[in-house]
Amino acid sequence: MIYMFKIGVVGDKDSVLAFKALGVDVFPVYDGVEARRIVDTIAQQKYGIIFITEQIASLIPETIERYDRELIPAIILIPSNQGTLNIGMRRINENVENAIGSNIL
Amino acid sequence: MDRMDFLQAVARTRVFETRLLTWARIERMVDARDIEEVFRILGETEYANVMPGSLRGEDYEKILYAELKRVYKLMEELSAEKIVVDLMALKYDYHNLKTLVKSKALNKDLDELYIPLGTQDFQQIKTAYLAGDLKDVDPKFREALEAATNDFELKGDPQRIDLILDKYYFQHLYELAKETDIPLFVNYVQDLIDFSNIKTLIRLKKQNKDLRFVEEALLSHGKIKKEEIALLLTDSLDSIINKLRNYEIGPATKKGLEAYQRTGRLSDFEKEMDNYLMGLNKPSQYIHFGPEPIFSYLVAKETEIKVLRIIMVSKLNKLSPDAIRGRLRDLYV
Repeated sequence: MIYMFKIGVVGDKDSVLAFKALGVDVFPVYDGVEARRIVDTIAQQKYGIIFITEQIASLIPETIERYDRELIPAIILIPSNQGTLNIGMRRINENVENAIGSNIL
Repeated sequence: MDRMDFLQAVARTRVFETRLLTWARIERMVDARDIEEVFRILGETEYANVMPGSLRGEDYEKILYAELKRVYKLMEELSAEKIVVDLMALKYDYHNLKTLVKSKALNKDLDELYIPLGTQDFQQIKTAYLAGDLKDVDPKFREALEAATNDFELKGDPQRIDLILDKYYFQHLYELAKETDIPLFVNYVQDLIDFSNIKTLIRLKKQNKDLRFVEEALLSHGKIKKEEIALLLTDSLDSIINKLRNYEIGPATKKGLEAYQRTGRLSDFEKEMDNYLMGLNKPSQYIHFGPEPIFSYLVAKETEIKVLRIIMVSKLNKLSPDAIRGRLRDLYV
């Protein structure tokens, strides 16, 4: 059986709305409580990848960490329209280090 | 239309004009630290009535729509003839029609995108359209809806829904303006059509569309013949500016297109367009007998709300006061 996963993006409205044009489902949120609820809800709904802005992700670190241990969905941090907080890049570096033993990036 | 019918409405509008936001207040908002401070300044003005007690920055649209709704309702009660207000409100009808056709095409509920304004009861149109029975709907709307729906069924191109409904909108708007026989209204609509055509031309030029597509997208009834605008498709921006310089909107077009050339942002052109159309309305401040002040007050109010929206969105996204200033429009008073 072939699964078709969906892609979602979570963040403040002005940062994420443009993703709609790409056919990605957009979930505007403004605070941590809302963000946690949305992420937990859509994680149950066949979303394979969830993009989330660093600004919002920094409000819900435990939730993000919880999904790190799951295979699906993959939660990817992206910068918002107000620039990056470097959390996303740091996570990639950490993952690379975990996977191959040294930071090659 | 009897100009004397508007005596009382003009007198009352004069009072409302004094409550429009002044430039000094706008400046204060531009320099505000964050959107909460903008709200506080707004709370000192006539907007206080539509501002709920507790408010999140992201809810700014609610205030702006509430105010817009209040103003339209007020002016509708005031105006001796509804048509004066309809001229401004008609765009909301067509926005809703576009959303309606798309929502049916997508088979999706787009309720949050409808704007609760317009010249007619939209719920009635919506119910009739979804039931497939348009015989009680205003013939103009019916024709527009049928044209857009049939075209979409035939070609499946959602862009054409906008294109077709825009055409019907401007046709309808032009007919309304003609019916009033007030020079300001006809001028306003015709200039708006010209500006829209130039905007369309620039956009389609960028998309490398062919002449046939451009001819189809342009609107009739402007002061500049649409055939003439279509022929500008292969011209450079400089030559477009040059060829349009002798028209009334020439200077504004020049300014707008030059700004566009510099920044690559069509919103700079739109700013010049808004400023020009506001300039057209300014003389209404000295008209005491006639419907013009009511119409111009609505234009002023819509511009004011647009300016507020620019400030608030910019504050939410932490833009610098200078960047905000560059985007603001002229005000009425």
